[in-house]
Amino acid sequence: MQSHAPQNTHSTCPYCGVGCGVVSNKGSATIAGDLLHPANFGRLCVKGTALAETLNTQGRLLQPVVDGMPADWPLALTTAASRLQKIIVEHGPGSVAMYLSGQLLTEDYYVANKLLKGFIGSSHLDTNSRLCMASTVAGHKRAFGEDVVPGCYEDLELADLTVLVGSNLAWAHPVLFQRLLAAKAVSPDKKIVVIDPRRTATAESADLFLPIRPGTDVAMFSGLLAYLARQGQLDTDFTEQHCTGLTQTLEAAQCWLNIAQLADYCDVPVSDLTTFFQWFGATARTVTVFSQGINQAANGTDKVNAIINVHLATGRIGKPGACPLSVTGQPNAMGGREVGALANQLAGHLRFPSELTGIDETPDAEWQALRQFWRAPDLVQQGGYTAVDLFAAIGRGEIKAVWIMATNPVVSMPQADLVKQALQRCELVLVSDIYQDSDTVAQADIVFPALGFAEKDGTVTNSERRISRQRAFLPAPGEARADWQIVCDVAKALGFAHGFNYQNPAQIFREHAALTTLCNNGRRALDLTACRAMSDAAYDAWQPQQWPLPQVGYDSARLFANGQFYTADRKAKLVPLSGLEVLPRQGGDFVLNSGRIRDQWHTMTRTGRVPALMQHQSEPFVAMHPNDARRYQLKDGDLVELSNALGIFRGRAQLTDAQRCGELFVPMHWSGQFGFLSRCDVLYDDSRDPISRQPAFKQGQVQLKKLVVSAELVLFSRQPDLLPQLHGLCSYVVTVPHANMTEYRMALTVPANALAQLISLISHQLISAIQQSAAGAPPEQIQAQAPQHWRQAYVQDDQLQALLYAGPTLPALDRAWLDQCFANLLTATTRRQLLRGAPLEAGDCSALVCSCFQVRQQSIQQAITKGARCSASLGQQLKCGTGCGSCLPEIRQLLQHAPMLKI
Amino acid sequence: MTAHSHHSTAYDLIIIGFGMASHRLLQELGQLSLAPKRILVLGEETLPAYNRVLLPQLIEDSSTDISLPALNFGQNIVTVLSDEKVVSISRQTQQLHTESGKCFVYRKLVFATGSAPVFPDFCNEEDIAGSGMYGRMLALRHTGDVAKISEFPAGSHIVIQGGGFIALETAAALSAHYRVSVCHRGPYLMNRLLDETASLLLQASLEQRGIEVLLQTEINGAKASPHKLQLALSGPAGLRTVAAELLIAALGVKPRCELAKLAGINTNRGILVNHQMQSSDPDIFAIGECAECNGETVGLVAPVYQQAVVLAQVLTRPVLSGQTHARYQANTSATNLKISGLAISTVGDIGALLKNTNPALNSLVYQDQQQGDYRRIWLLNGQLQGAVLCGDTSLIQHYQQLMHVPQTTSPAAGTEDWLNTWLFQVA
Repeated sequence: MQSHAPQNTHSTCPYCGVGCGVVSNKGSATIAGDLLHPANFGRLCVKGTALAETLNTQGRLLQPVVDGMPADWPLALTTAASRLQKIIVEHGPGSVAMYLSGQLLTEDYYVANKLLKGFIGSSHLDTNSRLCMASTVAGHKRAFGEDVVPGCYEDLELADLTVLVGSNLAWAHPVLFQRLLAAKAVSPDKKIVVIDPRRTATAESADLFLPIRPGTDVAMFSGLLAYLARQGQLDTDFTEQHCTGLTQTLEAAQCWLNIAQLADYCDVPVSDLTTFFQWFGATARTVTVFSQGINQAANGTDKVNAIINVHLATGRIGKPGACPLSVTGQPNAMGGREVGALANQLAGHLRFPSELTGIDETPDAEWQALRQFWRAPDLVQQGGYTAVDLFAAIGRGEIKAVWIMATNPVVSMPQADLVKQALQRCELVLVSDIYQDSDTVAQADIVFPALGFAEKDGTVTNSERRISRQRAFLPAPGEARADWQIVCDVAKALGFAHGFNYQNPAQIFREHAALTTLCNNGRRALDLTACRAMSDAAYDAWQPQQWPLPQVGYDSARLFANGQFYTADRKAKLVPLSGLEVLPRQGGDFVLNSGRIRDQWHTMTRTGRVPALMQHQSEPFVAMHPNDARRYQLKDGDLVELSNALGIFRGRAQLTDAQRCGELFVPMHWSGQFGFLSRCDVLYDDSRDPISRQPAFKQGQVQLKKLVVSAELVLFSRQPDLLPQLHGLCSYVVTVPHANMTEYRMALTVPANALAQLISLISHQLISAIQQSAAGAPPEQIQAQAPQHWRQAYVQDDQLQALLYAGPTLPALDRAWLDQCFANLLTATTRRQLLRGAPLEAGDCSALVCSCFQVRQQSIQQAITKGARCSASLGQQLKCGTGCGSCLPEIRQLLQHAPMLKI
Repeated sequence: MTAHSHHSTAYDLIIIGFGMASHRLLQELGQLSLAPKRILVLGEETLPAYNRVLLPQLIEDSSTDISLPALNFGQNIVTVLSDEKVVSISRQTQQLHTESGKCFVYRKLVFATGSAPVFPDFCNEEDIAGSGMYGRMLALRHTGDVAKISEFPAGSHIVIQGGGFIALETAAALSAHYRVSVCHRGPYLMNRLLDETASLLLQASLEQRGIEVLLQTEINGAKASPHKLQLALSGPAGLRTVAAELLIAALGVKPRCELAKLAGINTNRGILVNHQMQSSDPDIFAIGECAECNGETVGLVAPVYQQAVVLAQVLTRPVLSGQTHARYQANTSATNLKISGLAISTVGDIGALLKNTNPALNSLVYQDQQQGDYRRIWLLNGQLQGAVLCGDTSLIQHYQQLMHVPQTTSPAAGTEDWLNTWLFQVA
């Protein structure tokens, strides 16, 4: 490992699957885009731009914890090993499971998979990629015989038509979106079609937007296939030579041939659907980008194949500017797939005997080869439980021990409350994480402190099969260790030293590369022959490269151009599909869609700590069409409750005609650390794709209820940990971290005549919290009161301790100013304006639009009023939109004088 | 002062009293070329008019400048006679007679006789005249009173009876050199001008200066000897006797209208006047603390000055016929109490607001005890009814203006920032 950081360290961003290169300067806390990295060429999105702000050690786990007590490593490791051993002896190896994460590096993933499947002998190892990519994996395997992304990012720039389906690329993969828009700016004839139930920020940039009814994607792409066949626009040469299944697939698609009926079924205008079909038929260079809107469905695998079918039938695969392109959610979702870290995979794209039965004469050849290679006599022979089933098995008591690494299933799994209960009941819960305060860490018996992005060394693979290095540029905080190291340490404590005696990640990577060559001979695309004898120095100097890498310098930008696939007959398979939507089961008045918002990442353990990123959307919300809102007498910002038999979620109504009637959208990010009843995943049942076993996060079913709020309350406090005390007192509370204080936004639903008592209770708790932290001295109070309105400030030694505002409505709060009030000693003037919520010479408190440069809506509107007519001139004046560019869709909306799109 | 002496006994205008009201009237008349030419002013005090409001400051600092702006009489011929007390008026002959036997003829007559302090029930005529109780009892009305107080040696115990403006400003002024007790019969200090919270702030500030504040306390009697004064007090602690050197009565004032009453002019509490400050006799007027207009007498400088301005115009009216009549309208004005270290301002009838039980009457409060800041305002249907400010009183002008803003233009309750608009907005 590197002992000290060089001047500039080149690494990769730990957020989405684009896998942007970043450069950390002088090991300091500044991070910029890597100009040379082929994924981003220097660009970064707002989350990447704020990476440096996530690097402080506040809240980090600095030493192991055993049964709630701090422990040293030897104690933690021997305790973990002995408890695991006991469970294995009593209940067999199948009682042990691992639940991993796309945040792990390939090397971490590799050793974890090796330990559980090869040495402990349990196949119940799955990863949060199951929630994200499993349908694509299954679809790729069905069509290509192997989980391979055929194209690359450059195809987005080369395509004349880009179809974005189930992908809010503008917000979820902003750098790719910027690359796409930049190419379109150069060649304005390029077309963008967006297919999405929501008119997202991505849709704002589309030439054609199809607001599809959820779940009808298979029908739409089957209809497209049938249309292209009728128009004679299929590539029959390609299909005849390189594909099977076309006839049956076309037969199945025939029922969608009538465009008018199809448009009706998909609920889109027939003229728009016709336009889409015509464009698709007429444009050879077509890329179809798909993401969670496709994957997270009860028929996700079919959706993937519906898209691939069209590309295969038109021969648009593996050619410049022509391919189906899956973009992954996580930085190393692909790497995990490569090492086999899914319950239904073995390792390194090697296959279980069952997968090769009927395909190969010796179906266990790959399994045997791996067994020998690993010297692992207990190597599992078949797949294990995938995520939902894995936690269900924990809940049943069948699995007694689980090791969770770098992920937060108590927030991110469907039936999240059941997952929490299962972990509470589980005999042994090991958690490797970097933060002390996640909902999942709270359920752990043993906690291992792991390294974070800036401290780690290893490799990741992005959505275009590009392997890049993550390199450490900060020292390990406290006693934290690399995830691969922790796995190896536990393996050694379990007596498996011979298989886990690695000195560094390079050694692990070489072994992984060697493993990809077993029984390969061109049978599998994943081939890292060129890397298996790579030196440590070469590993350190690794430049981003795509696989396969059978030899150094191999051009692996695109696959399948030669028509060679990885099925038994080397032909791609078109999959006949029914196209009938699969409806969710819970029953309810609304279809519930969930997903990402612009400035947050996953369960906010990192991005939630960055004040700048918490401003674009500070509270969990429920986006809905104004017509639906009217039926429930809701206005923007009202508090609503979504519920079904599984759970409850509360958030603010956000009215937008970008949402279809009858359909709601909620952000997936909020956890128990940031709110009370803010986890949307408690509302999802175990509906999942029968093939990929991926949960259907896009199609929940819920009831909606308006919560009658008697008072809104905002509390700003130096105390960052009041949430548990507060949620007992109110119906809704979320926290919003700021640089110098924590904001608690609450809604009170007690009758108006009980408000005074409740407020005094809250203020009482606040005073005792302040007193506890300040050696018993009671704070001075400043108060303002009017009927049904309360405002209070608490001051100690001229330092602001807390501020509270409550009432049916709240004043415009200048949070930046208030945050500064906490930072500095109070002057008499400031003191007199505290309860005003803003200084008299008030700044702009309107909605934040540009996170990079902190530009707000009002400033932008003023500039527009003064004559700015395009986003470029606004960028010149205010700098808005000139950073990551992910706010450009919102800026364009403001220019069109439309109400701002928030979702 | 430059006053042309004139030996004729007939005047276009005679003003009885030479206090602040009278002074302001002369100032106004001096600027109006069509004003009465020959004017006579009859003052009781030997000094020319001075700023009575500053008497407490004068106690604290004998170098305080209490003079009023020098008068410029312009075209007018003004005669000022001091130490001249009018004893009777004959309205038929438009004559008045002074104690010294002088007789003057007026064409127009103005009463600016001011007010007299109220003395406690146990006082007799001698006490009130200052000759009883061995000079150990007085009210702060004149510079002479200040001089008497200054004769008492530092450290003497001075008891002030009353809990209003004058009482407290006097107490604060005296506290630098004397041991001061304030006896107030009300439940808290300034209970007609402040709410209890503001009053407690005020009390704390006074107590910090060493002033003893005795609430709900009556002085039932006083016994004086050449060296001592014994006061009988009854209060929450029961009956007791307190020794003191001096008792200052600050129980308020009553308009001086006996002379007008004798002359058969309509009076009530004060001399009854219309909005032109005209009494029941068309040639006789009244301004200042002796006048009662629309059922109200005034005790503050600002309305007195407004009256003087109106009257000056009225007195020039015969020549200015055809112009709109000047009209005095009792305007709600702010009251400011300035005790170093604590400013208090109020506007509106706080006493009445505190008794008002209308559920639509809202009150908004801001308090920062540490800073000594306190604001309370009363709103009825979005219209400001009154305000009390302590500490930071910078908003008082704003509130004073809002008192007269009709409801439609004032920010309505229930809107997002009504609390900000009312409690934090700057004028």
